[in-house]
Amino acid sequence: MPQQPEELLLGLKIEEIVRRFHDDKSSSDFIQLLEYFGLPYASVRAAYGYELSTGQLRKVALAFGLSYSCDGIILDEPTQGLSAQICRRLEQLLTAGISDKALVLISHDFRLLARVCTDLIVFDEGRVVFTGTIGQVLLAAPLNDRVGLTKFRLLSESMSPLGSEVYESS
Amino acid sequence: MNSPGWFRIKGWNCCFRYPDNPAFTLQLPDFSLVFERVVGIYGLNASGKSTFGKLLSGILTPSVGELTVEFFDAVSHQPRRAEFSTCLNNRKSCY
Repeated sequence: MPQQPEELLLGLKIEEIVRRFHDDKSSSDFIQLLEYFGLPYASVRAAYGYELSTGQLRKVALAFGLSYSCDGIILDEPTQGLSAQICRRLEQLLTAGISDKALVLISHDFRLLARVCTDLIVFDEGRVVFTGTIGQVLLAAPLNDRVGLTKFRLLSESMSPLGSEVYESS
Repeated sequence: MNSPGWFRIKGWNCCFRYPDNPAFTLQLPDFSLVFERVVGIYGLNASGKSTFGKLLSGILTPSVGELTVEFFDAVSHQPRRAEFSTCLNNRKSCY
């Protein structure tokens, strides 16, 4: 899912999005995910994308991407524009696993990545500078300084439990 | 949907430049990462993480080299190309 998926939904009715699924399970998952994100399907089914708020559109985009039948999903800064409560719900969902799909989670929020992911690819100025587990990246001291992870190394042992912190709005 | 197994992201001398932004180059020399279900992409602003995601999804194509995501079945160990596509082109898509 791109960083501004809403742009792709502006001209569509939400019920038209449901019709784009290839199977009933995906449609059903989409509607359940909307409910999970606090956006009942009945309240938006007849609305066009441009009639929804940015946050509502983000929820629709997330529900669509997460319910689509495929090997996995790439989420690019998925918490952008969401309230803290919905961010926590999304994080809980991602931590529990999205059925049996793979997840590639792109974020500048290391705390989110550390709670959801086991493995990490670190980029710096257009290059991969590290691949490995979260623990390994925290131990790579020279790298941490360069890409701003030093503070997370210090915080890692006392990292807040799930959903107990205020999210950054990116 | 997947049977048990794992994924592998593999790059072969991969390089990408935006036509209208020659100042930024994403360079991925040969590398490989195996993960079971969840992998994070971290970096500061303009580090290349979103460009990498677009290359993985197929929205963008490397200017040079190749980048693939494969799924390995736990029983057969046979790889197949994983579907991480986008509705921006006409492939089967998550988004």
